[in-house]
Amino acid sequence: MRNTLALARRILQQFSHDPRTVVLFLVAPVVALWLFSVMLGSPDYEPRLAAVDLSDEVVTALESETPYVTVYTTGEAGAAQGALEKREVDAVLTIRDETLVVQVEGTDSSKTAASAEAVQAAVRQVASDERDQLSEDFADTFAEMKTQLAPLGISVEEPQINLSISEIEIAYLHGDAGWTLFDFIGPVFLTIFIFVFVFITSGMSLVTERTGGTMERLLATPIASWQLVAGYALGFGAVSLVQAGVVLWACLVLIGFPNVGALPLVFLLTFSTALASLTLGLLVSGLAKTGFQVIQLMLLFVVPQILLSGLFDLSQAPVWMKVLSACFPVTHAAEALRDIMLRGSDLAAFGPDLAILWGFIALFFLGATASFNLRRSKG
Amino acid sequence: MNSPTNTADTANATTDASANLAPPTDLVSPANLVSLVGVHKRFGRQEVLSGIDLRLSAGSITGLLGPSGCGKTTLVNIIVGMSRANQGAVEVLGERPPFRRARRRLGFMPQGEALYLDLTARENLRFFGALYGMSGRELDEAIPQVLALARLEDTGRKTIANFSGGMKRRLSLAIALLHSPQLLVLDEPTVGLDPEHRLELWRAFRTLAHGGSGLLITTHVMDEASSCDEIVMLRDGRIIAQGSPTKLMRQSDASSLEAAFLAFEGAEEVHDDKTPKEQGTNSQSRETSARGGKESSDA
Repeated sequence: MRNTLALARRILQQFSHDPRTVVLFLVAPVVALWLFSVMLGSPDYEPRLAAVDLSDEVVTALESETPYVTVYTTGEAGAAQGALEKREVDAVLTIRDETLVVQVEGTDSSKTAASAEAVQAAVRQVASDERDQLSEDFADTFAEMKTQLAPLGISVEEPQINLSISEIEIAYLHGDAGWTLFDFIGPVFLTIFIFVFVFITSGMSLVTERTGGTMERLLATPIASWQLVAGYALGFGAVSLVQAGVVLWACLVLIGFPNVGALPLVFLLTFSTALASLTLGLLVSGLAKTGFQVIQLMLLFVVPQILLSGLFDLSQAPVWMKVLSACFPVTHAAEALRDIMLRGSDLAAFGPDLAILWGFIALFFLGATASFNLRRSKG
Repeated sequence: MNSPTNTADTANATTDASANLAPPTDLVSPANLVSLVGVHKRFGRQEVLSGIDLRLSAGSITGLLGPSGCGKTTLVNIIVGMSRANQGAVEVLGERPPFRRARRRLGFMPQGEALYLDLTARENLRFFGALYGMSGRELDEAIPQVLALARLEDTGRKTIANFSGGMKRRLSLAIALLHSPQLLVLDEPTVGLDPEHRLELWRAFRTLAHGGSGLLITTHVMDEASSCDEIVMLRDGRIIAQGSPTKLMRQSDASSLEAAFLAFEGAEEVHDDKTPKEQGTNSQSRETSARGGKESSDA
């Protein structure tokens, strides 16, 4: 125990002598998460459309969807095409017979989707206006017919026009209409950032120990392998406790991450994520000989976790990918954090995910200890 | 098979061969700090140490001599418990590997700096002292002493990153001495030190030996080696000669330890040539030893 504490204290001393690392440790994730929130939190993209020889009604309807509508006459069709090629507009709209042709630039699927959505909404608007006009005209005609037929003693019932659905209203189980993609992905990103930053630090630590030669000295002392790993876990655990706290505070207070759950639970989960990353870092650090290899091992051990963590929906992915995703601690951490922050779940709801996460922590810890034991005997 | 001077030359050393070496009382007595019998170490298919027999006694300084790549560091690693032998008996301070308790009485100075560059001298000392089981009060007493010996008293809050090469070596030694170990293993301790300080350290080594500690020092500075009580010459993972410096020089009829080493190396070559299994020896070392042999006969 004394050995473990001595090692933990040494790690904290090293941090205290290195304010630059401390600042980077705290500021870097906050800045990255802020940029991310700005990026994904911005309102929906408004497409730039070129309307070639369209009726005033259509143009008006388009203008109610996006402020960037440029009107061209028939003769200027070539100019509209040029604007598309120069990527000054996202789509060129022309009318051929009764078909509205939407020619999109096509490389950016999100812009294509935004253009299509705006055009469809505008067309629905025009159709709805035309339908109203039609029923109005019909009512007028019918009324006239009725007055003309009345003297002849013929009475007619006015037919009722009933549409099956005329309005749509969306109700929310969680969240509200103001939630953007950012809100859904936010907890996942928080998990990923904590994981990556803690991983780099703990992964480098043992490499520094080895390249600096201090590992030799350490292995010659009476310290046991588990004490060595425990000392590292304790020292870096204390550091990541602070890091998780600061990052969480910045996310909730400064950046405005959504959180409807209990704050202590959110913190518990963030800290558990940091510990999983820390123990994985220690385990992986045993495999790396240089700092460069730590980065390469991060690409191998962390990047797949990020990709399959819930950032992209996997519910319809192949089974093997889902199984792989379930084998990663980040997946469980992200899912549990999403449960608390977005759905306000309690411990009972995300308990299994948390238990699995701590299982990973124990596994990584034992693995790291075993790798030290191996090194001592095989050396 | 080994050198003719090796008294512990039991060719077929097995695990209980240590009993044949000396009376059993010798093993448990503190006079025998390290006892290696028939130690082999392989990395993959490459044999780095083959049949090492070595004993270190209290109160004496043993110099481990040999060219780089001869297995010096591997041998040191086995003695300090960083590495395990594949074969043979290892006993350090009366304990077999991994000798958890014996480690507390063992001081080690590795070849590199082996310091935490982002800590101060005192913080480095406190950390390693704590790992060797020293209490706060013991540390308060011992740290000023070793800092004085290493002439590092005034470094204060300065981190090791700002130390000169010599200061780092001195601190590294101070850490090895901190817990007043019975057995001190120093891997090239005086590299990068000025002559004056080198002499000072050797005086300190001598004081420690007088106090009853045993020291094992690897070096390739032959000058230094002559100040040792006992010399062990290592080549290609074998001990080629062992004995006091004067004895070795007399035996090889050489005027210096360097010449003596080359003479023993040459003798070993001749011996090797007769043994068919050793034919993989490279021609480079043959040339060197041939020259060495000539030199020594000239002397």
